[in-house]
Amino acid sequence: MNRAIYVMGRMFTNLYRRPLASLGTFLSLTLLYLLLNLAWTSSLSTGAYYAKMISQIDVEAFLDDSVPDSTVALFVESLSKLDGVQTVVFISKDEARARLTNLMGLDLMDGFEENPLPRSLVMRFKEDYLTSRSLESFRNQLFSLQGVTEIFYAQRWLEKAEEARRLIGRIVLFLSIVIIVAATLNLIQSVRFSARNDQDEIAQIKLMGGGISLTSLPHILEGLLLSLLSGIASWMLIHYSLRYISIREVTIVYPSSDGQIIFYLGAAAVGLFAGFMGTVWKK
Amino acid sequence: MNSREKLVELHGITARSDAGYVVFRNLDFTLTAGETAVIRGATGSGKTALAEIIVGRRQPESGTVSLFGNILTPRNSAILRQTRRRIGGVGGIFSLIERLSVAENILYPLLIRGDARSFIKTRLHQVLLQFNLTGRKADRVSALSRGEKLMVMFARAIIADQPLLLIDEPLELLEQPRFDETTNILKRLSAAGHTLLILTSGQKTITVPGAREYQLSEGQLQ
Repeated sequence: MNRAIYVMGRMFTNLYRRPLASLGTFLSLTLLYLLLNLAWTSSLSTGAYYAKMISQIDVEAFLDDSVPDSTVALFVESLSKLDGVQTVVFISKDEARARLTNLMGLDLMDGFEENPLPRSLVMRFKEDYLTSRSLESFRNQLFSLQGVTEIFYAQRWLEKAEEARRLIGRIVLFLSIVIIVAATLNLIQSVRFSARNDQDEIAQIKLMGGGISLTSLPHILEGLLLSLLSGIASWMLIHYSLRYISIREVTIVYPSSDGQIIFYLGAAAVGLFAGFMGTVWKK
Repeated sequence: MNSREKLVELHGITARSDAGYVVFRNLDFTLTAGETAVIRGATGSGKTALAEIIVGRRQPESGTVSLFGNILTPRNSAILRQTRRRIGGVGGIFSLIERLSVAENILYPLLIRGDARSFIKTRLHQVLLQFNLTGRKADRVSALSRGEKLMVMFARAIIADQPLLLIDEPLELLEQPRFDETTNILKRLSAAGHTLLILTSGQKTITVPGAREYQLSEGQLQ
């Protein structure tokens, strides 16, 4: 036996000697990490759903009849060059009539001597620019163009959606903090209990000149192992259970592999920190 | 190690018990390499407190504690650890870890020193033979008799060639055959050049040739 084998052996012995306490800590940590990962997955899935919804938003600027078609062509050209604008499509009076007919199922303009529908420009934006602030600023720019009479986009809907997204983000952040704190405290108590159980042994090791690698490291690694195993178990549960759940129009988005690596590193950090605190927390 | 090197030097030690009464008053003590000292004292006279001060587990109110030429201070934990590695402890504040096997208990000082696996194996085999423990190496310490436990402690105290052996109340509760065996071990260790500090209540007389004898009473060594 050498020191490394001894430390690993002590770590496993600590877990094995208190099977119910170890199992209890493992299950409660798994549950907490499961909640954390569910919140994370839900946040990503709603985020993807939100992105899909707002990608359909367009801005329609209606033009005065006095604006000649040649000027409209210049509008299209200059608007296309603006930052964030993806496409600009000109809708002529005839096209507007055709769209309305298509929408209503009958030609409402039938009987009019002249088509009263205005010409318009329909603009789509890149994803990063689809915020109420960006669109509002764009709307002000559009109004500065002579001949633009009215501008329409789903402003209220977008503001509500943004508000809901911010709220979800805050709830997820708050829950995550509470869960991480709860997991850390839970693990600290478990390691502390384990270290107190071994206090006579630790006292003897110290008397023989043993340092932290023999007195505290087994307990710190115990915290690390419990945290990592719980993290892995929580992801396995999520992957298994979400296979059987489907929500209409919502695609479940899992964190990327980088995100999952960060999660495991975080779980390892929680384990190391809690393991360390459990060994130094005397009271 | 220089044979005249002072392994233990206590100078002007004054210390109080946890209850607040004075255990040592301006106590001086020196132990040179290769020497054996037997300190006798009644129960409660401060033998264990003296052992605790020597290993740096208890801080005196005043005075200096120097081991192997290093002055022990609570702030310098690295020196304290290095110093403790050179002390083999038997009895008193030194106990065995009951849930571990005989071999696991004995090899602790080598693990602490960070020795290689092959060396640990060889050295363990040697001391198990030396103390007739080969057949019991896999047994849990909790299953051993008092005398066998004492042998395990001696084996642990010398496995890393610790220069100083601190032996606290080693023989008090032993039956006569085990008492004689242990006295012989002490004599052999002394003859082999180990430095021994034996703390005893003196209910049974320990005779080690060439040992300096002290009486601990009223906080002074006489």
